Amino acid sequence: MNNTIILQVLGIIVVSLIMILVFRMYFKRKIILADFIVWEFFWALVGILVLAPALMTDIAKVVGVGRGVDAIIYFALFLLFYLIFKLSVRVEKLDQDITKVVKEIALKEKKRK
Amino acid sequence: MKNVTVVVPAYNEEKTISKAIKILKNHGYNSVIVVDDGSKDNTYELALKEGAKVYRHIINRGLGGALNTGISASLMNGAEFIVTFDADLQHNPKDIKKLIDALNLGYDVAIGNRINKNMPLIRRIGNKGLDFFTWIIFGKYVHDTQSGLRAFTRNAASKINLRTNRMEVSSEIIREVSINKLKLREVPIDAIYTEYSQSKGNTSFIDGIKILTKLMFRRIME
Repeated sequence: MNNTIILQVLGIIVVSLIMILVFRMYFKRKIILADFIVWEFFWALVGILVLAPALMTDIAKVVGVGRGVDAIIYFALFLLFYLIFKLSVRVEKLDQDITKVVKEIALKEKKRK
Repeated sequence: MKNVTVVVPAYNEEKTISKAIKILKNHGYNSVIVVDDGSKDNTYELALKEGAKVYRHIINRGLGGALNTGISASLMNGAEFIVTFDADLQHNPKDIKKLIDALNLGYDVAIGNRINKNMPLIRRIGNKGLDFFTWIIFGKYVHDTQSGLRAFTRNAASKINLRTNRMEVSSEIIREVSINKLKLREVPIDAIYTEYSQSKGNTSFIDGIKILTKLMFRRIME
């Protein structure tokens, strides 16, 4: 029982730190509002689950996975896939933007001559 | 006679670029635009020496980027017909006329369909696979989507919006033709498979998969 409380305290500290970090990133305009809200919401959810782990088992039952831990792992996997996908699209977009710049330079350089 | 501009995308093609420009000029195509796609060899200098208009990419961007620049440059230079021609000498310059004839008949885009029986089997299978997936993803079947010899009218070229950077551009062109409802003509052409052209444009299986992924991204990012 004591162990659980120590873990919960540690968990809450970590989650709070991350939430403060996310807030600072938004404050310094490193992330946009939408990302800020999504991330704060996500970590708040994690915080709630740390305080009341039994909740996760209830959710798991509703979704039909059985154990709370399983539901967390499924969710984490889904999130990772989603993030990688988003990142790939972003990289592709950047790649195309670089081409636009290179093209403009090529056309302008020729015009000057 | 309409104003025809030939676009030659070139990346490290110093061995063939001079000859490619020469044969184009010998066949009466005097307006040649070379896009030097960040070559590390003498492609740029050699192309200038042969009297082509040369546009230089400061870094390598791939076939898609080079064609995009070449087509925009042609439009800026007032081209009425735009032909794309590979620098590796795999095309017969006589075939350009066949494509132009198709445009004169009222088609918007003409693509050379390489019917050379000497195409190595593995390459033929790969190309067919890409034709198939281009059909699945973009809904238009073309017999030789990866062909480098194409011709566009000015109107078609200004409608075609290319965003992909590398080899996947060949399929993207088909997509643009389909979306803009352009009239496409496939014209049978020669393909000259020299040892050089084989080693250059060889699309490996992995490249094929990469092209596929890019095409799907292109689809998703619409």
